[in-house]
Amino acid sequence: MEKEKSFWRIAFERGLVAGVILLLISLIGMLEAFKGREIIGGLFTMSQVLIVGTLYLTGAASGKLAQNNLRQSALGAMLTGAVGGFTTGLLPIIGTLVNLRSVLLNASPELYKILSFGTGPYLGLVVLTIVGALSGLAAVLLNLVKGWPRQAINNSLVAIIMLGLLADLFRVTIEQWGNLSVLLSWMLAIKGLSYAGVAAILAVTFGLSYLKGRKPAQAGSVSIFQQKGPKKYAAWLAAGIGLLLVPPILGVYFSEVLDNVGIYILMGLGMNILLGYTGMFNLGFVAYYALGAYTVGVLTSPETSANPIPWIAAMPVALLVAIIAGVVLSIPVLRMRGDYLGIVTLGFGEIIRILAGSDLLKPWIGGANGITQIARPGIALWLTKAVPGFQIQQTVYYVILFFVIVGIFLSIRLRDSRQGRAWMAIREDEDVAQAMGIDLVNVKLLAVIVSSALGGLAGALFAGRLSSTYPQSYTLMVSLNALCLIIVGGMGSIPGVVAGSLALVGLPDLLREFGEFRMLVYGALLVVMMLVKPEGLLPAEAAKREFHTEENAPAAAD
Amino acid sequence: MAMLELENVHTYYGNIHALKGISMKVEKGEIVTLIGANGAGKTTTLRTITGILRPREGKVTLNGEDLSQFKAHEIVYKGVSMVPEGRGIFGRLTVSENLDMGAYSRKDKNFAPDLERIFNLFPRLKERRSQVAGTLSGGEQQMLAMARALMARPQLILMDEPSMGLAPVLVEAIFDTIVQINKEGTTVLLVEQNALMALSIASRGYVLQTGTIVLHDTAENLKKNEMVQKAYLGME
Ligand SMILES: Nc1ncnc2c1ncn2[C@@H]1O[C@H](COP(=O)(O)OP(=O)(O)OP(=O)(O)O)[C@@H](O)[C@H]1O
Ligand SMILES: [Mg+2]
Repeated sequence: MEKEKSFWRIAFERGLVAGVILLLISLIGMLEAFKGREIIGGLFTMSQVLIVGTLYLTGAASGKLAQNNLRQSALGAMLTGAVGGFTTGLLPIIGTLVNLRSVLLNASPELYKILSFGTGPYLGLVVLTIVGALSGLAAVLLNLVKGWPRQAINNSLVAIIMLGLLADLFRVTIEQWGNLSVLLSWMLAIKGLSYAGVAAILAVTFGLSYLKGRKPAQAGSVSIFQQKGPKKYAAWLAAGIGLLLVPPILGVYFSEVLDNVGIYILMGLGMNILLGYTGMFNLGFVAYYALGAYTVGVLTSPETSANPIPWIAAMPVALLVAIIAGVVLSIPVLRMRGDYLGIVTLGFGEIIRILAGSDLLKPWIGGANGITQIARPGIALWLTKAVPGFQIQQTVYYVILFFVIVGIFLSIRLRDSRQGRAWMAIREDEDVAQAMGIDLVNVKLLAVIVSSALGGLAGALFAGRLSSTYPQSYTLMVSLNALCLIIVGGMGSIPGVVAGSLALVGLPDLLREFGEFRMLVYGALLVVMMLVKPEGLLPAEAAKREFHTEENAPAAAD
Repeated sequence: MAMLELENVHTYYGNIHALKGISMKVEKGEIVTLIGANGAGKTTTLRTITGILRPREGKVTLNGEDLSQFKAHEIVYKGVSMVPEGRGIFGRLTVSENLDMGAYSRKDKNFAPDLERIFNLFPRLKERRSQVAGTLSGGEQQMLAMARALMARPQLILMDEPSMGLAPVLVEAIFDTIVQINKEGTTVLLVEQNALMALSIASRGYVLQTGTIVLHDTAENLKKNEMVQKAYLGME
């Protein structure tokens, strides 16, 4: 009895939590921002997905507490959902009675309409409570489905929401294909996905999950890229061709987003070497990025140079400047550890930004006006002229792709080298690493050199892509982005850097509504990651071991 | 000439005077033990020998060569390996990778004979070669720390409380291995709180008390010494 009581209580409290979350995202304006994003045209919007999704997920969490008792589990989940819905539903009622707007800017009639699903405040309370209960019930019932159908449901939900969110971009993209656009245009409604599109997504996800589910899961299934033989080469070849075809097929906007992702991948790789491999904390990474960009700017723009040189000639100088700064700034801090290093480097980053915008250096680097007319990479310019219809964003993509591949290759080689092993030993224990014969100063300096070069390269590409550079681009956010993306991707993991950049830089760029809430989403995402998948999206071997040691017990052979 | 010699060594942590003029010698082929209570300065002595700490006064010599001219990471190239306090294994690396790190200082890459020797001494490690070191038991971690130190082919091995936290049976096994390693030609400086065990395998011993060596004698004599018996062997 005692146990049952506590279960209901937990379910009730979770409902309150769901309510608080919903009230929060309502009052910061997130629900309203997404009301125009129809996921399935004419059927439901992203705001509704957020409401139902929150109630569904918290309901599912309560349901899982009583997994062996279906009735209890279902009732608990419904209680959670209903409490969450009810709590949220109180807001429109209070809002119509009292004027909340003077304090809470976003408490608008528009918001109340969203929260009450278009009905009035009182009916809305009933509707929201019922929606909550049904979401909880749905969560528990769906949890009964096992195996490939379950996988298919999850995948199709994610696919529908993602594609629905990106429907506008999807439309812009296929419109560029001219007559070929009819191939896919039926998938879209005026806003969001069409019913036919939803049906197609369902068919594809169910089909794929069925095929995959039928095959017996191979022990420790390896991705196709790691398998041996021709299959592996075919997979890499296909991936390579796919990457090369991105600009013509996906168009200007996606290319631009991916350019940005690529720049952050380079910074992430640098941060990964510092923090992921060597364990050195750096919150001033933006300094290298800024120096790379400004070096290219100063050398290639006619505004700042009497003899402007081409981008390709300025780029190596940019790397050199970033490296020199990295080494010089590191000498006093090499002996520091952890938080101290973070704070000192944070200061360096800020100093560089302030210097860039200062009147002191204005004659040379433009001060607050920045530098414009920066040279773009020659090959990108040439391609833009040579291929009709190609925009600079699409051609710079290839330049960035090239350097990203070089950066990844370099990172892999270093990781597997003697230096790489020394880095990891330092990360584990500096004193012991020294006793093994590792020269801390040398090995750390090498990490600094490589990572500042990668940061400088990212900056050089950034300046060359936009053809201009302004001091306000080099805020602490850049360093934080680079830090967050390796945390989310998986500390010390190269695929993780790519996944993290796509998730933290690519997605928010694609969804402009997220812009405002970027920090909030980051924070929430980091908390959720730490709770659910602390090792990151695509963790490195060593991190997998650390977080899942029990699964690693050896097949004890005696 | 002694293999290792400390002459009037004074070491400080800031203004904490941790070693107050220590002198000791380790001859080639010996097992020498340094015993003392918590906080006596045993670890500090080893850290001073390996160059992580620098003596403010006095000097440390290895085969007559002053070690103060070398950096901490260079000491292992001189043939001195360390089994650190609390084992200090690389927890996220596998057993094999830990052993590789132990051989970091070596120019040659012919590890096969060393691995064979190590797996003879510690058969348990052989079974667990690909296991993550952090998941080894305490005893296995101690074996790994010793094995890793041997990978550098040291002439002198410094061990900081290898018996710490281990069951009596395991302590005996570890000490048997120390004797074995010594017989195979490696000189040992053994820091211990477990004075009884340490004195039973060592030829000579030093007793350290709050940064000062208060006694120095053969192991036999130390075992009979009244003060040692009282303070370190738990006899009245
Ligand atoms: N990093 C440090 N900073 C300041 N004082 C220290 C530091 N490390 C050790 N000490 C002090 O130096 C003295 C000797 O410490 P040391 O670690 O050498 O003792 P120990 O004999 O190894 O003890 P134990 O048996 O507990 O390992 C102690 O008083 C200790 O508090
Ligand atoms: Mg100690």
